[in-house]
Amino acid sequence: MRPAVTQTHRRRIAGPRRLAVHIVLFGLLGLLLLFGGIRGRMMLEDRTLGMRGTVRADVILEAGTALVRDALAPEGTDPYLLRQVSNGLSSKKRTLRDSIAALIAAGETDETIAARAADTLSEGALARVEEAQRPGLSALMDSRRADIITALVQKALEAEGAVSPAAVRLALPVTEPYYPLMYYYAALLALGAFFSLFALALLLVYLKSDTEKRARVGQRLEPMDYLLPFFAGVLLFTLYPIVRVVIMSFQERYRLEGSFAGWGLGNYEYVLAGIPGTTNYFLQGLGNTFLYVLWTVPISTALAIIIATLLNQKLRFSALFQTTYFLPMVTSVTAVGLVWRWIFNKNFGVLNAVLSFFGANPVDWLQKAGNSLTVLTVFGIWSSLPFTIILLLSGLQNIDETYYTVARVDGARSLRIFRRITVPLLAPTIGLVLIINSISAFKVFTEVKVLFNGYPGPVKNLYTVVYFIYDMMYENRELGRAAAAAIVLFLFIFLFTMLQRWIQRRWKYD
Amino acid sequence: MTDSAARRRVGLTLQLLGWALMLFSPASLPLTGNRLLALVFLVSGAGSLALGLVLNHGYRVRAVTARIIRYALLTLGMLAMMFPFYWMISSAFKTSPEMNLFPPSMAPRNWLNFDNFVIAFEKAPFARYFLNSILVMLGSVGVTALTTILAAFAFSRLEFPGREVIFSLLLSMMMVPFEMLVITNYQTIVKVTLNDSLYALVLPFISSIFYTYILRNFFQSIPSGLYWSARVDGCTNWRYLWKVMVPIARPSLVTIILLNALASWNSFMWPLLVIKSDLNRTLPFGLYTFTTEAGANNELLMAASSVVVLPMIILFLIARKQIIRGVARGGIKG
Repeated sequence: MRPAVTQTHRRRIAGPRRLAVHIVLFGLLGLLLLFGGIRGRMMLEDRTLGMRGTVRADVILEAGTALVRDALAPEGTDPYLLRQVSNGLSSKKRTLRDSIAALIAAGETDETIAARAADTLSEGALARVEEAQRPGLSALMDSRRADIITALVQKALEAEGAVSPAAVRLALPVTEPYYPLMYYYAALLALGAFFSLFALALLLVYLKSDTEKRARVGQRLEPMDYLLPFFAGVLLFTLYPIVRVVIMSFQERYRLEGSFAGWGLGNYEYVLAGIPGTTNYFLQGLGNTFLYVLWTVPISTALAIIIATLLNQKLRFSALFQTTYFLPMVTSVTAVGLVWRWIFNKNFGVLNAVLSFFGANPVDWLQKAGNSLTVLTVFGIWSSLPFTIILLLSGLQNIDETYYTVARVDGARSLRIFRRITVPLLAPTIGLVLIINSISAFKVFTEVKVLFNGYPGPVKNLYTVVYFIYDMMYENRELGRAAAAAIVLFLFIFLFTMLQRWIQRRWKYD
Repeated sequence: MTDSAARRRVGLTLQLLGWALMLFSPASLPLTGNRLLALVFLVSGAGSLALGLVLNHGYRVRAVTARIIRYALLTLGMLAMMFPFYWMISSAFKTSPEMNLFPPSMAPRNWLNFDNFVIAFEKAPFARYFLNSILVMLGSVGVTALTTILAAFAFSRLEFPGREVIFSLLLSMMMVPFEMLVITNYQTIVKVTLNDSLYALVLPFISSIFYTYILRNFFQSIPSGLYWSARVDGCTNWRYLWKVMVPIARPSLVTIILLNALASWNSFMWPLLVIKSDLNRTLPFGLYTFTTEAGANNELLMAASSVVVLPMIILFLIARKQIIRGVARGGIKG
């Protein structure tokens, strides 16, 4: 054993050093994030200015054309004049666009730009009308000029007001350079402020305390270092999504871009009630999912009980049996799904060959709507068997051997042993297996996607809950509706999880 | 004595009846034309033959039948479980005309016909998919193992306020299905423009509460006396973790790594969402998109499927015990 002095000495050095390193690193991290946030916000303002310019130019051009046309050729004038005026106006469009852009770039006021627009446009229009009408129209134009300019300035102001950084943030295309900085500037600023303040607080502690205290604080920071990478992942990709999805489900028609129509229960209404006159695919999916769970889980559990009991006794070739029974668990659902699709093939599939051997007609498994759920269930049972067997097998192995010995000494038959000893003692495991399997069957998605060639069944008849979520999120970009569906899914899963916990507590599982 | 003689006589009769039934079964086909009936003849013949043999030789009937039934059931189940794999591999070696036979041929004419693999690899960049899958798997396993070890250590040995509360909060987060998190994660990945890159396949999975839970349980089973005596000897936490705890926890770590590798290799939904371009696809997703290119050529699909499945089969053959133990302990689907 080393002398105690060394240890205290080491602590005294390691503690303060750790504190100092934390101050520097957190400070740097905070500043970096702050810098990113500020940079993002500045770029966003920049983009907003640019966008305002474009909007201003567009509005002045469009509204200017309309106003001048209405002034020179009000409604009800003869069509010939109207056509001439319109031609004249459109002949000036391109030159005017360029000159407005130049004026905006030069920093001119709206008044100047509007005046230039009104003049250029009326000049163009007057050039096209008949010689005789020109003086009268010119005079008319002069009297209206001031009104037009005021109206234009007004419109430009209104349009500009609509272009806020918040609106620009949602409208920017993702391909924009530094897009993440602009989209997440607020979060970056908040995080940056948090880390900087933390570093600042640590710095204050460092400056105000002696070596002993520094060491103590430094040591208290140690668990954080171990947890930081883990929590970074959990916060960003588990906790934040949970909170965000709940919020999102109340943001009506929240879309991938980040825009939404308003707060309310609209997403839930869409998901649960649908739009009258159209198929409600969520309810269809819910029904399909329930049927799938109701078929797959009991059947596969029943089969698994039989197989697990058979595997549990002394057995030759047990390695072979185990390997073959558990193999589907590790193989990709996608790859195996393609194989099942080939087995279920109508013309050349092996299943139809077996059926026709017994004289049945070939069945169109994959293309006929009525068979979709059967196909999915067969595949589901096959792929969930290994997992179920493993859990039941470990449950069987936990049963005390003496029960069997006693029963056998008493001369009980094996079927009786199975019914009177195995099943009751295995009951908690069976319950657990039923629940875990139900939860995972609730999330069926890949199977459908692969078996039916990327569609929810041959005629959109085999939506599942998760398929609906995927469809809403990925195909329609309606994240709000997907979130509402996900919350409904979660409620079911939550219910089953509570049941599971209860069983585990009741029978003292680990 | 008479009892045994009577039994032999019955046994012999049954045996003869069995042979007769079995021999008659193929003959019944042209007579009745019913295949099902022929099958019934065959099976009942075999049954009565077996029973006759048992009676004749005086085995303990019940034990023998029990064993026969047991092995027969297990073999039957095994065939059912294995058939898709057999069908996949045998179809991978068939030629296109062989595939389009009805009834299908049970085995390819040439078991060494690797044409389908060559064509599949030419039609789609499977080598690239393979590389991507391996990269993503290594990245995911490496990063996750690191965060998991560190966090499990902190939650099992280091003292900090609120440790148990935080951990139970984490555990309750475990019940939230990935399908719910996926919505926001998808948006995040799109918005940070990591969309369509391999990073997107690793990033959301860098920390796993489930694996941390498993490892923490194991760490806690290591006596804490060991920890304190090492600490008194001047060993830092860091050194203790890597020199003592990690080596002791190797079986648990191996389990975690295997489960993680399996999950990463087979994941389909997440790549489907975030990956766009051909060259960034992983194997399952690449295979899925290959269905369009392969069209009706199922032999190509089967060859490609074999390639996707084979590494995990090999992994399973090597580490069967660890994987099964992991699944049994975790109680979640691998």
